[in-house]
Amino acid sequence: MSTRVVLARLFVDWNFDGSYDDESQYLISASGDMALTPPGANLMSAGGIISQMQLIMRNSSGRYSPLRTDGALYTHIRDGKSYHAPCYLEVSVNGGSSYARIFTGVLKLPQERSPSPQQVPIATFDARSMEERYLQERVSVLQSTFAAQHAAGYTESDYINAWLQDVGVPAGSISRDPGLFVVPWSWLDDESVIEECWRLAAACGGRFYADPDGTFRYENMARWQSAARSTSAQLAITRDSMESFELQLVDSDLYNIVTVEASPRAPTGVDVIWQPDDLPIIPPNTTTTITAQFDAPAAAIAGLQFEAADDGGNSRTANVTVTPTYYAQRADLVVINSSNVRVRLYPLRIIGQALVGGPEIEERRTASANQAFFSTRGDRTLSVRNNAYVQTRSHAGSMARYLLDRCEYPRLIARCGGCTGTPNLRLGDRVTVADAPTASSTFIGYATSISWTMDSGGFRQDIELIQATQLFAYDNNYLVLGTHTFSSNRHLFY
Amino acid sequence: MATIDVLPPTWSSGELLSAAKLNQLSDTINALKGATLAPCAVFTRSGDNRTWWMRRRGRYLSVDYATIGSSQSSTAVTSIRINGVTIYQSSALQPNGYTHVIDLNALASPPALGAWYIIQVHYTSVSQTRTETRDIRETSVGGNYTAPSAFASGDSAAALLANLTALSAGCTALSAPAATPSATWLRATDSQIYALTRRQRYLEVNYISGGTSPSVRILIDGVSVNNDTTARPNGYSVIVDLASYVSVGANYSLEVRRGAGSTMLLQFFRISEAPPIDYAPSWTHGEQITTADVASFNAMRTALNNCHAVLADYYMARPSIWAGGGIVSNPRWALHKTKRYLHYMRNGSTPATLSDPGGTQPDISVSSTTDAQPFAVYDLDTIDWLAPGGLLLGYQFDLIWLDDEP
Repeated sequence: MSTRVVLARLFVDWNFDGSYDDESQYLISASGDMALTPPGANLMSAGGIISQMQLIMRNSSGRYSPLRTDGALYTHIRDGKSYHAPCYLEVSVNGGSSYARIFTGVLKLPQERSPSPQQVPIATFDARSMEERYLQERVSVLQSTFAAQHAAGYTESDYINAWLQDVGVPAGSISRDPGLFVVPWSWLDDESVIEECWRLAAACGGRFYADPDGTFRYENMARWQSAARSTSAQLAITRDSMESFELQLVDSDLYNIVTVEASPRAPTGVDVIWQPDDLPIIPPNTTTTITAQFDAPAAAIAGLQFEAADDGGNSRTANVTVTPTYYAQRADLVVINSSNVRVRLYPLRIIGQALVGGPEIEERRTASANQAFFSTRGDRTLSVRNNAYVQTRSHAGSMARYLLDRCEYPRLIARCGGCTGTPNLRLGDRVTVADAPTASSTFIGYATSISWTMDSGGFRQDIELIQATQLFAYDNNYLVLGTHTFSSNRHLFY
Repeated sequence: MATIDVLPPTWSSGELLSAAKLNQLSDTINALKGATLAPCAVFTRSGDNRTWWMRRRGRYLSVDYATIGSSQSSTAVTSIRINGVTIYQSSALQPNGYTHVIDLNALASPPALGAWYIIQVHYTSVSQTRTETRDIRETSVGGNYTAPSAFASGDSAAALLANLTALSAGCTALSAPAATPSATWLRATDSQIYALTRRQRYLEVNYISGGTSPSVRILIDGVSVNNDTTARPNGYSVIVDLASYVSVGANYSLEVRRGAGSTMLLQFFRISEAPPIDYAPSWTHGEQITTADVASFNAMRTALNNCHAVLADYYMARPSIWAGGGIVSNPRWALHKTKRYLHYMRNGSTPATLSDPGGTQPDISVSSTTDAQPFAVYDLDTIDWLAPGGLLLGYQFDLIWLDDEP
């Protein structure tokens, strides 16, 4: 079963000026997918899933050819200049009355195929969602920022917001749920913001990804029980609107005991937090930058001490300035020697308070709802350790409970193949499936993966769902602040 | 105890009420409750030119002093110096006492947070003038605590959210007072007045007395509360119910007065009171919240209000008196181990020692300090026989200070 695609619109900003060219008339077909990692799965290892799209473009006039100097886009295509050009694809299923974006991201490099008797000339573009644009951007957090964020009690959501803005993501392109956990100490030291956002979100049971509209989203672990798209069905699939339906019970994350370790941190007293192994030597009349890498991040900086002397042992401190820029775990020291002799710096030291790890805290939860299952099969234990973002007992306890509830039953996953395409369907949307031969009652789940195809045959989607009631014991019955009262008799979330 | 991070959760409309955030709030409140059980800082009064040291944590330094003239010709010039720099000087007599408040941030060279600094109070006076440095307190900026409203079974959804927000705000307001001070004291062998702050109800004062005419009198704010004329060679405790003399949070003076013909050695003083029964409860996923849970929410509120009643609105610490340079002969110190690190100064030929008050364990000699490195640190966790809260005696130290940080 499929729905004919009435219209599709593809736009590309070839020259990065914010103005998009309409490439729709050259589009032959497109396909792509977007997915979320299974809830809780990323707590043990960092990672995220970048959505992707493949475009097949008609290239009769050499429009996308990097070696055709007469090609309309030659100046934008040659020498790989289209790399990371912003693009988006919209689909309408109602004759153009409305369009929904199904992908926003950046292009990778094109692959061209010459015409043959059997086929017109085409160019193939791969594209990745907006994480790709920033994936390689690395950031170091200033020490003053690091300390201020600690003092302000930043949550995971606050950190993600700050880090994204550090790499230039506009505030309007960030959508985030409130943070659920105060993460007392968190910093970046020449690290990929996107990877750390994935890691931090996962440590808090949430998800971080760029959606089809190009918005970076942080969704906390309560999202699927608080957002309207997840609490009420956005799509009802029946046997008439899909080609295949599969149910699979998965045992890959089956545990009845979950232990999560928290790694608290605490500042030490004021002491030397860095001094060089060798005496830095600064040539005459030069400026040198010294990178001071700390063993541990600095909770506070008390100051910089240095003296300078020439090789004859005479003080040259008056001729030397050292200007520090302090980051959480390193400092860049710009040393200017304004004398006409070379100088040695000794001592050179940074005084401050290091942040050191305290004794680990373990929170352990044991299955109760499905313990009988394990009593005949033996205990299975999941241990989550060394996650730097889990720093408090309450955080570890919540994550242990959350993981256990997801792991004490074999996970039930539904796959609906060849569905009539719904362009505005989003990851996390609540979807119902009625398939009498497979299930006595309607299956209710959250969309965790959407693969789509748009071609002359129409717009189709393969949708993977994870069962809602298995994820949340009190599905749609949790207490919402600002909505419910004591008399509502609702339940506490994790 | 360790330094408390007061990081309560924030709440917003539309989010799910989570056990994680409620537990975070409960953890914070219960940590604050623990902070109320810490001993208060102790100031050793002196009538002479003296020096005190402290490690900076707060912003303001208040110096209470009195200059009392006994005749028309009496004069006195009072000078307060911070790190050797005179930042206050007054020739006005202050017979009723006077408090000079210094904004440490406003000094030309303010001591850094966490750094040691020296406070000197000097008097230039004629013999008819009596001088006294009564108290020195370092305090933080106020936290503006507002007591949260009570939860009620008929609370609207907005009121429930507002009350939770107020609880978190209350915790934040107590973050500075939750930093507990160093509490060490110089053990007096003669009459001595200490300045303290009432946190709990009972004050236990323990001393040894003897001599031809044993006499030890204890006074609270100048009011005699015990007069003991019995020899107490094995130590004797007087427990004072402070409720009769001082309100919670107020500063007061404790005078241990030795009578003529008596010998005396102050052993220790200790504050105590059974902790309030109210504490913040634990929360679990799936718990159904009904009107019956109003009491649990109010338990958090009550516990927090109890914390504020003791901790008040400011962090407060008092400097330790410098007993070196022969100013005090063979100084004796004591402390209860309520923090991990003992900072000390001992710049002299006789090494300083730490002793078991029971006399069972061998003495511990500590390394001496120098002019270049005036302070050293001893990790009290390395003393295996010293339990948390245990009494420890010190000898020959010029100064001691307890801290959570090395």
